[in-house]
Amino acid sequence: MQALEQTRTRFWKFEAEDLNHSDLIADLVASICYECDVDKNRHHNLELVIAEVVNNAIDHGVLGLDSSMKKNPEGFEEYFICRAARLAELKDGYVSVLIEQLSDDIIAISVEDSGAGFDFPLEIQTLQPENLMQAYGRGLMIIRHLCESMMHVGRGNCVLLQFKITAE
Amino acid sequence: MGVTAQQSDNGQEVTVCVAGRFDYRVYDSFKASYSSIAEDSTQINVDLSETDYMDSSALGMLLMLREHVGRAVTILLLNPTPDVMKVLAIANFDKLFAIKK
Repeated sequence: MQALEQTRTRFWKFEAEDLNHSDLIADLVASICYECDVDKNRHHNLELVIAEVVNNAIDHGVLGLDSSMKKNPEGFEEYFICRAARLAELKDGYVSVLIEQLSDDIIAISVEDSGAGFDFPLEIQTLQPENLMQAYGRGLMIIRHLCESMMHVGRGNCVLLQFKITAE
Repeated sequence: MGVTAQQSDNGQEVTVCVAGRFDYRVYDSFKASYSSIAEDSTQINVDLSETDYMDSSALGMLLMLREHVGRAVTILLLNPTPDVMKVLAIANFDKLFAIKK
């Protein structure tokens, strides 16, 4: 009988009351770095990726904020104010993070939120240089740039990433 | 740590320094740093020499600053650290803002 290889996985679930915690990202990144033995030179990139993907899950998934809000004049300001207000009053919702070690070099990061999910139109997935002032897409641009791969699954409420944890 | 602002003697130039992390958490202090600047200011320097982390929320705040001051005011990003420069480059902000190293 062939032995099933045990895969190393780690799972975190952040409930509504956890999501307004200002050290959520930093603490999560520190745990992942420790558990998965992430090379020191990759810590900063991992922190950026986790911040972008978890903040996206909070903003657009749990809080239901619409990026197109940022299109209006003073739109960014409205967006930030609305985000803080909704986060402070949040009663329901969650963001979960699953980390799976695929090899010595690569971890898979799955981030799921309790939101309704949405389709990712192409213009959000690829920010064109001529639309640099565009209100949204920069977070995804950073994620795509720093990860080996990115995929949206489920009803658009789950993102799967592969991240290299060893030195370049 | 945090955001500090300093006005030049002639009042035309304001330097906003973001030390430590530049993300959602400094939104209030970043906004306050430029909200009360003199009307005849012609240049805002955002000093990034002590910024060790910056994500897309900070990029949004830089665009917010630009919306707020309008085209008549020059915005200059000063001495970004290598980690910050990488984020600015990924988002093509080196084409949107003047960066002085």
